[in-house]
Amino acid sequence: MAHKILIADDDRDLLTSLSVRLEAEGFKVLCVQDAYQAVEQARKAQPDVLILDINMPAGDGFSVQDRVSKMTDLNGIPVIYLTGERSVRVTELAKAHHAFALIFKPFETKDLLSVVRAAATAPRPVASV
Amino acid sequence: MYTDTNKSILIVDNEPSVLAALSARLGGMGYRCTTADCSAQALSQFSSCKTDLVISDLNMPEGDGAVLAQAIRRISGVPIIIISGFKNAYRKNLSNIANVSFLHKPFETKSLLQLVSASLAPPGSQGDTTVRAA
Repeated sequence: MAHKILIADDDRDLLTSLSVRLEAEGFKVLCVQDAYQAVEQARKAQPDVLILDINMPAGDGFSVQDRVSKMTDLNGIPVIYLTGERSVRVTELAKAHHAFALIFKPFETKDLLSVVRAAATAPRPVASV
Repeated sequence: MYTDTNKSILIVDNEPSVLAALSARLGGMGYRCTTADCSAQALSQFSSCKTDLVISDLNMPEGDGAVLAQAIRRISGVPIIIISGFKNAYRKNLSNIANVSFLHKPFETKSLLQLVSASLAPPGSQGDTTVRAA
């Protein structure tokens, strides 16, 4: 079955180009445009990978991961962060959240695709009980 | 789904990643794709190359998709698909022009492919015939 990728970003052009590219690779793609929708869609759709913009409406990407990680079935889900902010703060926050990857915009789509492929097939850490 | 590799598609968007993704996907389906990053370039290409379908963004810095669609419609009846996040602008400026469809960004690829197929299908085929050029 196709791996399900949830992308949250308020840039419609980025969502359009990424979803077309990922669907061409055989992924099932869901797109949302703010942090609130990201949490709701993650709860409903149970994706295999999250691609989160860091700065978006209704909360940042890290707050999405914090909330999604509390959902039992999504604990340990690989998260790929996208941002245009090259700062120590963002890098440290991504490390603290055990992000699968932090990718700075603008990026080469092929680079993101290879990270997504790796994230989709990465073994999930066993959730602590 | 109707796919005719003799069909040429002009894709217009000021965002290079959208142009690249759409031309790769539609080109991979066998369509012949050309791209333009603004209305002026699109009109120039439309005038000089055979085009069976135009897919255009609406909001572009150098002449928007509505102006482009109206200019094309004055000289040709080819189907036009507007791709945009702004449906109200489409309704206001383009919904009365014949043979113009709208696809809301972001969209599922299958929605785009179905619309492309339906737009290019010969009348009466309902877009469900597969035709492959030799």
